[in-house]
Amino acid sequence: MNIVVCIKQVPGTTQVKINPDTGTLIRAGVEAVVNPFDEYAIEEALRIKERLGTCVIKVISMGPPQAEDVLKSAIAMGADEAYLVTDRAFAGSDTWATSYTLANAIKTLGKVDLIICGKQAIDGDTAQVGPGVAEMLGIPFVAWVRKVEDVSETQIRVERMMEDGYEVVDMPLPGLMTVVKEINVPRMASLKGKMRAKKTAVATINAEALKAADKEKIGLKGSPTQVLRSFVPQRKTGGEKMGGETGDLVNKIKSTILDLGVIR
Amino acid sequence: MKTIHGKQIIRETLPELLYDESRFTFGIPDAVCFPQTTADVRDAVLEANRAGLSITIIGGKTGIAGGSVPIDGCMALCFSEMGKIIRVSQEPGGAMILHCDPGVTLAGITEFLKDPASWKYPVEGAGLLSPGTWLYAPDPTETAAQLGGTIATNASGAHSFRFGPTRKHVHELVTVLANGDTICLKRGDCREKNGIFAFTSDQGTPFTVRKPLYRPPAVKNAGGYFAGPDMDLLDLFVGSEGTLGIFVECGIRLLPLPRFAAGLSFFADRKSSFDAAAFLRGQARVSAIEYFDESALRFLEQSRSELPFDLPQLPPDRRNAVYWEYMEDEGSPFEDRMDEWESMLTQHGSSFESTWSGFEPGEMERLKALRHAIPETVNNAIARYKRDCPDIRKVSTDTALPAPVFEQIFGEYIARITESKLEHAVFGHLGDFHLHINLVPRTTAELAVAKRLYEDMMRDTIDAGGTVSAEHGIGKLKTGYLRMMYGDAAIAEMAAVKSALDPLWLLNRGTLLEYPPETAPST
Ligand SMILES: Cc1cc2nc3c(=O)[nH]c(=O)nc-3n(C[C@H](O)[C@H](O)[C@H](O)COP(=O)(O)OP(=O)(O)OC[C@H]3O[C@@H](n4cnc5c(N)ncnc54)[C@H](O)[C@@H]3O)c2cc1C
Ligand SMILES: Cc1cc2nc3c(=O)[nH]c(=O)nc-3n(C[C@H](O)[C@H](O)[C@H](O)COP(=O)(O)OP(=O)(O)OC[C@H]3O[C@@H](n4cnc5c(N)ncnc54)[C@H](O)[C@@H]3O)c2cc1C
Repeated sequence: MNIVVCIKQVPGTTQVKINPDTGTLIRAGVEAVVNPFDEYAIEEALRIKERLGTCVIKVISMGPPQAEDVLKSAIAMGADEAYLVTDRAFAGSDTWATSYTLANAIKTLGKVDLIICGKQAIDGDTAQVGPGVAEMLGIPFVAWVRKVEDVSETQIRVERMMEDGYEVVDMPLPGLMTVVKEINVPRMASLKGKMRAKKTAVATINAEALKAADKEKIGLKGSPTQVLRSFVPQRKTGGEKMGGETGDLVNKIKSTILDLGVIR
Repeated sequence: MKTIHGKQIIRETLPELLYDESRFTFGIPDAVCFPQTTADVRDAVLEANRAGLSITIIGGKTGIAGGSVPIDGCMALCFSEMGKIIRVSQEPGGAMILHCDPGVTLAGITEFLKDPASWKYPVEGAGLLSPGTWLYAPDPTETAAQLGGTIATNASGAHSFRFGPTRKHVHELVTVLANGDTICLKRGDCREKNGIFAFTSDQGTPFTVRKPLYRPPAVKNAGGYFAGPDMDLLDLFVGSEGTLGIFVECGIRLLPLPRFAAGLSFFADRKSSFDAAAFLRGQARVSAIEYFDESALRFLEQSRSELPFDLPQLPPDRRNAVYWEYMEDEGSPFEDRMDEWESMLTQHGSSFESTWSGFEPGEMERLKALRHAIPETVNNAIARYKRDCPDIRKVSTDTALPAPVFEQIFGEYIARITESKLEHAVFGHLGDFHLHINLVPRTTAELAVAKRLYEDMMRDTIDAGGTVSAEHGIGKLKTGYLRMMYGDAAIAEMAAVKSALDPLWLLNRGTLLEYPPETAPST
């Protein structure tokens, strides 16, 4: 079985700074880490591999050359092969173009049975790329998977998280799933893994290599989204601070909610 | 200065000031002051002298020996509002000194050093420090501790294995003495002459203090006043647990930040962990060697749901762990040592496969979070058991043992504890032969068993030449053990030091030394 895990490099969460003038993320000098949701995706791939015995796990990331580091982190956790999709021609891709480019890159990897993505990236936050890739590849997908119940070469049974419970879904393979953090606890990389990561070469895939891709559909040119303006939302001020004994507080909160007419 | 008077209102509005992490309380102060400046501290001390009140100094309250717990009817000085980073200076020899208010937390210092020039408020001389390149070496796991409190207890952490405890890193202290005078001491300003420290306060009062002649146990030690050859007066103040003076400005030495690489190696048993530690101790670039035994890892696993992070699955067959740190630099990357280390680990039944990597900053943070979580989960368990049995409490050791007898005596402790069937967690600073044994009783009967075990362990430690407190200090809870360890003559010497600087025994009465002193203070 061949599993592809899509991972994105994101700024380390504790250090995100916003440029107050432009409202955009300051990326310079910020340490990049694996998007946390993608760590769950890698871990789940590793668990499927442990379950099935034979399996090759390929991690793929679209990004600047530095994204090689997060691919190495994935190798250190136990992934087998790493691919970096990188080219100046990809700059300015929105989620549509990103999905298109990734899908075409995945096509170059040979037979793929299962693709695993994170639920969303913690910087872009759209949760569109996973489903986007599946659509572009014309394969089924299940989003928000919180548990893999059963998996074989041809089918996977998963639990998909819903607002009011969960659904058990059977999906024929090849297919794609995006995973939520409830699915597992990612392992720590071992020193052995680190050593392997050091030795493992990351293969690069550039625009040239995407034979099936329409050059008009990649990068800024291929991106239908236009960002008109971005801004930091105004911080809400005012409000009322309540203090006191728990019993009194509960009553105060209750009467406030009633006064506001939020509940009756 | 904000001051709250009256027991009733203090009990009602400031209940959190009445205990520290030991959870003991001793009484309610008559007044609580929140100084913001040295002048405020002096005013408070002069007022206490006038009113005949003793003074309890409250830092971050993370102490576990009751040192900062107020006694009844005292004046409490709380440093929560005196927590600024003051300035950075450079000594003629090049040493970089960070000057802080005593109430700055260790977490605050770490945060500041990440990017000194863009700190919340301008700090004079911050430009001398490039971002993220300097280290304040002492690293007690509880980073909510205040700098003043950690200097008062000579706190230590994982890095103390390589860099020593706090004492070595204190360069300068401005101290308010018991009579309200101030004294500014830089390392080297006042050294002993013929066993005497003689100095004059800024206000002109002369003081002479006889250097104690006893010999502290030859292990990592935080119990009792420091004594050693060719001593500096500063060394006496550090570790005096607030009984000799109140620190109002602290100058600490920074070190160039090495690149730390860390690992958590899992072993099948205690013996192999200790054998690996013996190898690690011999490595010049190892800066920390910490140990978690089976019981500590079990606590962690059982508390999975209350941890502030997701705990990865621990190896089922290797239930002992050693955390180590290695200082890399240009000329000596860890890679150079890979083969040697791998074969060492394999020889002791671990491997690179069963070593979690802390080579990336994010990974290291996770290992540190895990380390810090262990004492917290033990405390949470105690809090839970207390609901059914309010009298119980944690009974935990802070002993360090001389190297040659460490394994044997520690092994005997563990055998006795296992036999007692008490729930427990063992972890700590293996590099310095300093492990904490935490006994977690659930009932008063179990508490009695735990106390008896504790007594036995203290006696055995003392007999073997170890210390009853390697890092937490004596506080109000261990004064009896300090006497047991040093003997009456040495305690009388300490009392004489105390009396020379604080004739009325106003400062932190009942901490470090019993009050009233059995040996009459000589005035
Ligand atoms: C007009 C426009 C221009 C943009 N220009 C740029 C630009 O120049 N450079 C830039 O970095 N970003 C750019 N972006 C942002 C970029 O399009 C998104 O970050 C990207 O499409 C992923 O979306 P997301 O972060 O919301 O991920 P989500 O859809 O929330 O991610 C879900 C999952 O998809 C997978 N995934 C997402 N992105 C990647 C990836 N790159 N590689 C592998 N797997 C992935 C991961 O598994 C992830 O967990 C631009 C966006 C717009 C709208
Ligand atoms: C989870 C946990 C982990 C811990 N880990 C470690 C560890 O790894 N290593 C370690 O050494 N300790 C450890 N401790 C104990 C504690 O953190 C240290 O003893 C610390 O130094 C106490 O600092 P504090 O500011 O909280 O002081 P407090 O507890 O408030 O006071 C401690 C003593 O210092 C005196 N004092 C405080 N401020 C001043 C001042 N400005 N001038 C003079 N005297 C003053 C007090 O009167 C008291 O005697 C741990 C505690 C906890 C709860």
